[in-house]
Amino acid sequence: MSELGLVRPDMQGIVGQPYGRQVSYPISASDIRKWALAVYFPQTPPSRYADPRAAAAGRLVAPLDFNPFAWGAAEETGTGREIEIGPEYRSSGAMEHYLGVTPPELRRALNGGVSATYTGVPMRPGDVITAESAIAGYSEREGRLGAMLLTDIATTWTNQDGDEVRTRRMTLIRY
Amino acid sequence: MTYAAAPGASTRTPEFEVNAPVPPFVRPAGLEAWNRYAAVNDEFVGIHMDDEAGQAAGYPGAIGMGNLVWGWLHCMVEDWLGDRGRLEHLECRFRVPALKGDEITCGGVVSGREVRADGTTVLELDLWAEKQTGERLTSAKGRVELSG
Repeated sequence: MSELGLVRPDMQGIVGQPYGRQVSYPISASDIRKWALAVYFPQTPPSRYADPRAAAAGRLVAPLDFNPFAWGAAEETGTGREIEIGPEYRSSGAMEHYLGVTPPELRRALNGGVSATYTGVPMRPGDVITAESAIAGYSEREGRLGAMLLTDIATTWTNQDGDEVRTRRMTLIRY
Repeated sequence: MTYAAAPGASTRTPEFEVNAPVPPFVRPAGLEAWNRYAAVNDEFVGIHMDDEAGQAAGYPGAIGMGNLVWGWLHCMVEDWLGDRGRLEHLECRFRVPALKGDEITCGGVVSGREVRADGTTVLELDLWAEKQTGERLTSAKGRVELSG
């Protein structure tokens, strides 16, 4: 057990193991436009997103931070080791249960930070993205909100041609 | 006689020199922005929607999404670059969240410039997002690859 008692040995045991594979629905031009409208609000997004001629000419490219998995995935491949958990764990972003491990008893969560590397391969309308995620590591610390568990999650996206689009690392803070 | 251009010569604009500022990207924080972002990113989480949930989590009220600030940092860099380059890497740590009524300014400066062995010019960026009070929501590092 870790110093603050938040990282159990069974949690350490699943570090580095893939816990999920998702395949997106095909990205649509409308998905991209709505994303840009939301992020640029209250101003109008640049014409590269809103101009219908850009889409018609094949010049429409999704913003780098676009998430094709926001509203679900067309296909999800499990690990075969999933266990049932209560809805209170899902709202804290828990993922340990996908690997057969009970999540820590922490019900609140924050986004601690993000890191992304982009390969230059764009996401365009019609693309289908595959995401594969793994827990990259755990750490813990005392903060203003009490004892906090930091979980680094590494995700790689590839497109339908097998080209890597991006790698992303997110730090989930649970407390 | 022809002369070969020095590596990175076509990208020698004052905008891309060390200490040059990245034009700021300013947006209001609040439910109008957060609801729109929640709608595209399925981020209908209590602390982003409801003051009581925000207070229960230790904040004065509902708080903004870190992912939206992440998106604004991307907007700032991509709008600045246009087709003159591409964002290759971005990383940030979230320190404090945006609250309703805040005005968030994303800013940045070119902190480094180098030409890779293949002739590509790469800029390192120091980036941030801060409130109207000057309090930083996040500090970030970016790396862009210039075209040409």
